[in-house]
Amino acid sequence: MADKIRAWGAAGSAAAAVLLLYLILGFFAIPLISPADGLYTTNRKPEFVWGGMQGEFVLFLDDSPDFETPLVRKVSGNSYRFDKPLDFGTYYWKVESSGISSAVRKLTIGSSVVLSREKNIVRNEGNTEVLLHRMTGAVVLGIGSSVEIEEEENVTAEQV
Amino acid sequence: MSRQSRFKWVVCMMACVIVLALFSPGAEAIGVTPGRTTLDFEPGLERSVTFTIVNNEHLEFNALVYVEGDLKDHVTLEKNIVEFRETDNSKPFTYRVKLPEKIEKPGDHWAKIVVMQLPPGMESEKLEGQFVIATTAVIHQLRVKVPYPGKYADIGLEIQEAEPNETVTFFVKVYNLGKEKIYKAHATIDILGPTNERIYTLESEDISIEPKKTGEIIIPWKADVHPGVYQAVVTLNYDGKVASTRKNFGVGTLRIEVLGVKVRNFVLGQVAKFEIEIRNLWNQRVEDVYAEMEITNQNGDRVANFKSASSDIEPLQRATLYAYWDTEGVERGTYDAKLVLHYADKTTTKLLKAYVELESLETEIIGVTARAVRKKGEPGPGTNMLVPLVLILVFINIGWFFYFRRRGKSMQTRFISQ
Repeated sequence: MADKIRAWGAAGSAAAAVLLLYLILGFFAIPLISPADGLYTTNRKPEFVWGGMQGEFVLFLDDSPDFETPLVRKVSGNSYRFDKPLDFGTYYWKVESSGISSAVRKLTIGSSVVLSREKNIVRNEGNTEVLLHRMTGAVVLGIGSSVEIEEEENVTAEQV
Repeated sequence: MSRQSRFKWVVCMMACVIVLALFSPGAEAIGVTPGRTTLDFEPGLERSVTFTIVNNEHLEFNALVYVEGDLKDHVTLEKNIVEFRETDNSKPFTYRVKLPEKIEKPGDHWAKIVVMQLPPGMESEKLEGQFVIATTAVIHQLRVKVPYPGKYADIGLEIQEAEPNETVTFFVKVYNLGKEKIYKAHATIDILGPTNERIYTLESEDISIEPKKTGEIIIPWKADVHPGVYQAVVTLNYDGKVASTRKNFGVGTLRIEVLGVKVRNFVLGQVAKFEIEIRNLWNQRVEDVYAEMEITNQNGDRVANFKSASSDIEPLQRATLYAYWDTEGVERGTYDAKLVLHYADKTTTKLLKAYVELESLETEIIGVTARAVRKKGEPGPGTNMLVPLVLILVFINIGWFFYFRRRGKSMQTRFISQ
């Protein structure tokens, strides 16, 4: 009976230790704020935001959850936005500071092919270059660029 | 009509115009996201794919959906018409793909799902028969990658640019599009300068890549070079085969700096010639560089605004731009000047103080002091003519003096003799 009690006591102590460790790590972990985990967005320059004390952080971004070949940025503060638009695809990101790491989040950046038309002006409102098929042939239309067409002309756009 | 009723009439008319403008049809917009879905070919693969049709402008319209491309017979759409209301921001659209057991030709194969915005009020039943309408459409692409026999790699290059003496990072993506594993892939990057001369050669470590997978090679390079445009040429050697790609990248930013501003031989009331010395910090020729200068007095009133002629500046070279200010009617004193250098859709701005005196114009740039005073003893403009003129007048006066003196003496002698 005494052995059983001792065994239960040992198991309880181990569980309590694990719980305590989990709480301590949770307390010190860096909370990620945005983008939300699993987010699909067409914003190619999302802002990465995390919480925690002010200080020096390292942001890791990779197309693999193993972070084998990540983009690494040293950040003073709690947010970062890459200068250049990110390529389309799925990314994983995390933040580290003083040996403490955040959780890993997933982010997907998708292309958007959006065409607006007002009278004889067609404009690329999407986040990628498009090939605009016209009666006279096809032209590449940059992001935010517009082109003049005939008012009765049919146009179709697709990702380059 | 009284003034009050006339005002009401004008307000009503303006309201009508605004309402008509708001409700007038004409603006259209349609979109899809993602614009492309990529699948690796597998014999007999069946899959449902969903994309989103976007109604950014919150319009009420019908969208006609149909398929084009060499894989169109392997795609089944859930429907052909999608109805949008003003409250719909977007709607998901799903289609089913059933690939054949074999596609002979390796490479990319496509099904293109066309989403066409129909004019307002056009119902699906009206689509039968012939009709002529101006349409706007967008395409969601389904790309199916069919592997090449044996070993086949395609490469992509992304470059993380940096400032001079910082680290530029090259990301070489190696797509194994073949049916076989690539055991050893090795990248060499040649960095070429503005005249295509080879500046550096970088070597990567070896990697291996499974079929349908992508390998990534990262090569850092400390850019101890001048700011400018360079070219990276990547050559990938993989199991006895070669793939290559090239891409331009920038180190630093295109910039032209102002070194100093001088005005020589200044005389108030005449035209001041500003000599603006500049330097091109970029490794390529910059065309159509010009300076614009605005001068304001101490009350903040604009006194003058003038531009220099345009000039082309060679890579990493100095040059001088000339701008002219007519100072007729300008008073002595201190003026504020703003110098704006225009080039390659960019500007460099310098603020100056201009101290205008009778025979000097000094300029002082914030951060750089450039004094431009006419040297003492140095002849000003027009002094070459003035000196002989004064001498001639002096000689004439001396001549007159002696003439009248002699004439006066002879008159005196005549009076005495009379």
